[in-house]
Amino acid sequence: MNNFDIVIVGGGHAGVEAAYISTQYTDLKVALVSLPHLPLASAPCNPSIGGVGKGQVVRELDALGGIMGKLADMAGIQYRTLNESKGEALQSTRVQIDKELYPEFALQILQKIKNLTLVQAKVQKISKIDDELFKIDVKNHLNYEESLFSKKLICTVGTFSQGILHCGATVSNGGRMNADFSPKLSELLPIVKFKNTRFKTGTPPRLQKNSIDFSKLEEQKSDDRTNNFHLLNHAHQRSLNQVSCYLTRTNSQTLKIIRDNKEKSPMYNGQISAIGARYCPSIEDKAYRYPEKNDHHVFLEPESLSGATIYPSGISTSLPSDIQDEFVKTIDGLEASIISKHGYAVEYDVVDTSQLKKTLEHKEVLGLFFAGQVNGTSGYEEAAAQGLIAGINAAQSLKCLPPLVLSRNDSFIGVMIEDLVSMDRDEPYRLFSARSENRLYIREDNAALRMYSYRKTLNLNHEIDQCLDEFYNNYQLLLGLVSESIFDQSGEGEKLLVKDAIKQDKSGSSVFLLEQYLLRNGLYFDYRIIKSVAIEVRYAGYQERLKKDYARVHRIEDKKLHFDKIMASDNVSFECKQRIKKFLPETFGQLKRLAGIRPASLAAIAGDIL
Amino acid sequence: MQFDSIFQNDLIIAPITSLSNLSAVAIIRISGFFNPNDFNVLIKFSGPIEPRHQKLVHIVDPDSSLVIDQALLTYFPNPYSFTGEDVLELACHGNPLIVETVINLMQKFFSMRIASPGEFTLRAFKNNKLSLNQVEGLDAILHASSVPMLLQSQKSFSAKFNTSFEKLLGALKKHKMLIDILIDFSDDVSASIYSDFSQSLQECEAAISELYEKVSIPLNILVKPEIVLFGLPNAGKSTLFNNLLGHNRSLVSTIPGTTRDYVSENFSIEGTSFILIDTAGLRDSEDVLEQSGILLAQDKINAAFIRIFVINLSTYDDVLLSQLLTFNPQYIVFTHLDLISSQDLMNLKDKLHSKYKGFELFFSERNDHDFIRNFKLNILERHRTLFRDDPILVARQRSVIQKIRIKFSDYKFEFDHHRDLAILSEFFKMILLEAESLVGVLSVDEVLNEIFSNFCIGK
Repeated sequence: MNNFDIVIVGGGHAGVEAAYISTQYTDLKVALVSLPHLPLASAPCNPSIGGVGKGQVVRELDALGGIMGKLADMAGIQYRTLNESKGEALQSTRVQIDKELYPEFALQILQKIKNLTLVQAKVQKISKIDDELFKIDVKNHLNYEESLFSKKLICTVGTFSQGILHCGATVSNGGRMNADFSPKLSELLPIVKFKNTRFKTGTPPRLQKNSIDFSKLEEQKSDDRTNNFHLLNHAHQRSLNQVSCYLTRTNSQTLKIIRDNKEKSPMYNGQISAIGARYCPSIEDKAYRYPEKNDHHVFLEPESLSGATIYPSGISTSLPSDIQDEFVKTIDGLEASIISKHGYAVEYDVVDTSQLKKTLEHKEVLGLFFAGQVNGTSGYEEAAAQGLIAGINAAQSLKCLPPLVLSRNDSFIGVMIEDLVSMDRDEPYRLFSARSENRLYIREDNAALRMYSYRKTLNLNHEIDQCLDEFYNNYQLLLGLVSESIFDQSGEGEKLLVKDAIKQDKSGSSVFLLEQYLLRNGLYFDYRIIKSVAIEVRYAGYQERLKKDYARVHRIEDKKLHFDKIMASDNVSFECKQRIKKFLPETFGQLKRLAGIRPASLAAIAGDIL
Repeated sequence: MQFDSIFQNDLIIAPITSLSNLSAVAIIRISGFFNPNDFNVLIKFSGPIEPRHQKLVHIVDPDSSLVIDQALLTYFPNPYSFTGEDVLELACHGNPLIVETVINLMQKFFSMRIASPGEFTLRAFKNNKLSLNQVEGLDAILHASSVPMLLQSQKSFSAKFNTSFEKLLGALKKHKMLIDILIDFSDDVSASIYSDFSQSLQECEAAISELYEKVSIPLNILVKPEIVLFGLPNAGKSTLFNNLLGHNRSLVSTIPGTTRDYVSENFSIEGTSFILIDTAGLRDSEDVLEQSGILLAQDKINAAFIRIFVINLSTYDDVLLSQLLTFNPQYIVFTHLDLISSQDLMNLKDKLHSKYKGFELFFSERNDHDFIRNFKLNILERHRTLFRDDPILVARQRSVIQKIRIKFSDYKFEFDHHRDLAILSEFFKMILLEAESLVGVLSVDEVLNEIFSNFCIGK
């Protein structure tokens, strides 16, 4: 009974996503092993899902049959549309979640899955019995030891591998505060060669809600018009009460305290040597790196409906707790605030993702997949997306079906995975929309359409599938309608097609225009279909034009490389050859995106393929 | 050029001086990877070879043991050579027969081949000894037809010229950064980002117009400036033409309409080459502008760098001449002064000066050498001023700049009309793609770096 097709080690966003998708292959037997006393899919840092680029990922996940969008809607307590005024293609959704409910809902859903076994135990060691079988030695909370056996293994240990926590001079072991940790990667997986890279991340202190004076702070209300993430849900219906966030700012006093205590910061006194992300700077980073700037945004985000804590986004820190108490009180509205849990930093082992294939399977140890923060990414959404890709590909490979690889041209997930496997990174990876070359097309509104054919190739039958078909068909129907119907029947003179009316719209809201038209004509379509069609029609001409331009200027991007010729060339440096051998880029575009390829080598190779 | 050869580092040999005229010295260059002592079957010398020092050698035919030539050898070990490879240069006597024999012998006894045109430069480019802009600068040096042009090419070759490109790169990078900040990090930055954005747009515009000014003078005016003479029949165009040339080229006669269509000649003023063009005069017809001669020459006149309107003062006709002013001459030269009394001439000059305000007027006496010299210097000065603003001479760079300018105006149009950042960011990407070949590739990480080092962003 301890034999499984797939065992997933780690019950965070990546692990849960991998479990949810792989069990949709109903004849596979899957086990999810997670540490005792730790909730599944918990959110140990910010209480929100989505954001610019990340919202797109959640919708891609949802359409591919993932669980994150569904959970975010079940636990959503505030919805916002980011970039609302900046252009319809850039709009992204962010949902504040109830951190207590989110893991509860995850557990409820996973418990109902018949072919999933939830195991609460600490994994001690993973070994290989033969080419086909992994042995996973675990110990439960009563110190009872046993072994699981599995054909595929997905490792999603997050920040737990040799996790070390820093709060001022206080150093302790753990994947997060008040939690156990996992053995270091080289002990956990002696079958894999690791490079011994460690990253660092941090989290701000949590504040007691009733100690904050919200009266003088700027309020940010939930937006009723923001679409839910999960396609099966009604576009705007919320399952929980909605709450507000508040905006406050640091000031010169706050920053003075932080600057005066520089030698007490583990990041700056040498206590932490691992590398953190520049895009996720702690308040110490901000203070020391930008000595002129004292005014930094702090968003006060409720962590749950019932709970009493607030997450102050923008002041992540690992300074000693007394300094945290002191500087927090200098901030507007927080004068009397009480910290319920102090901020801290965590250092952890990460995998060299250049050793992974685009399926996230290890290149040398076949059957072993890595996903989530252990791959050196940051963010719940990035982790979840990798969990889904690893889960699908583990299952596909068990069934001898072709792997699922998403293209960077039609998904943010594809962008992220290609970036991960083709870069040696020296800092955590976060998805920005700027990383995509195709922002006009990779949008939230068309995520279901972009993912449609990917999901169909899996040939699964889950609740999402029927819904996707319906979405796809209605989209085609409405698209056909706007291409043929006259916009204003009563108007005299030239008859304008609906799609041309949308294109010529100057108000900036083509969605509203189409909505009104359908209303006038007594036609009903789901709001998300209307949005998708309106935005597609509006951008279609631009996309066409840019595609042509792009093809003309960048013919070389898609040219195939002659591997042997490059290897034989004297004009390509040894170092560059090593990198090319390692990442095996297929096109010149991929080669260009590899870090560390010298301009001279690029020029030589370009000359060869032109 | 065959691109197959890009990946080869075989030895190549070629004369790098012209063989068309007999000269005292001819230089043969060999490039590749070698030890200069390997050639001692053919190139005889005593003592060691010192890098970058000239050495007297004898070139001997190994079969006959006959000395072909005495030559000076210079050895440039890699990577400090023109191509970045090992380079040997032999300065032999300038007889093409010697050069040919030496090259044949070298090919016979060592595995080397004759370099294809431009191959040394290509290798220099491949080995990162020259940037693309420098290669193009080198080309311009070799083809310069005037001193200002030569100086301009030198600037381009020494890579000093890149400051305008750098300015452009800086402006584009900053703007791209601001676009990405507005899309990805708008929560983290204050509203002042919008004024940064419009300011940065102006900086891009300024950098692009600065470059555009450098390409707005047509290339033919810089490289082969034309001077065209036009006017009524018998105005004295051909006489002026011959005086400028310094010898009789145009058939001079007193019969109107002697010159048909136009004649042209190359001539130089203090080393700068010009093309002098004498257009057809006008035959006797009712309407001046319908004269076939001037219509044929119309395009020629409009495209010329210098337009000289020649007027015969003795047959001065106000109405007819006014029509020819539409050709917008810079100079008006009055001829046949000797047919007018000096008193009349004085009065006439006053009148003409007030009538032709804004034009440079010259009064040409027959065989007046001072006039011709001053006139030439005046033209030369006009040509030199063209180079004051560092015009860009390389055709590829010129066309890229034109394209960037067009793409930027598309971008501005979208900016003014839609303010949809999704579209703007895509249009801006097209500018960056065009600019890549001038300023290099701008990677995502570079832009992100720029963002993180200039703005405080993150939770």
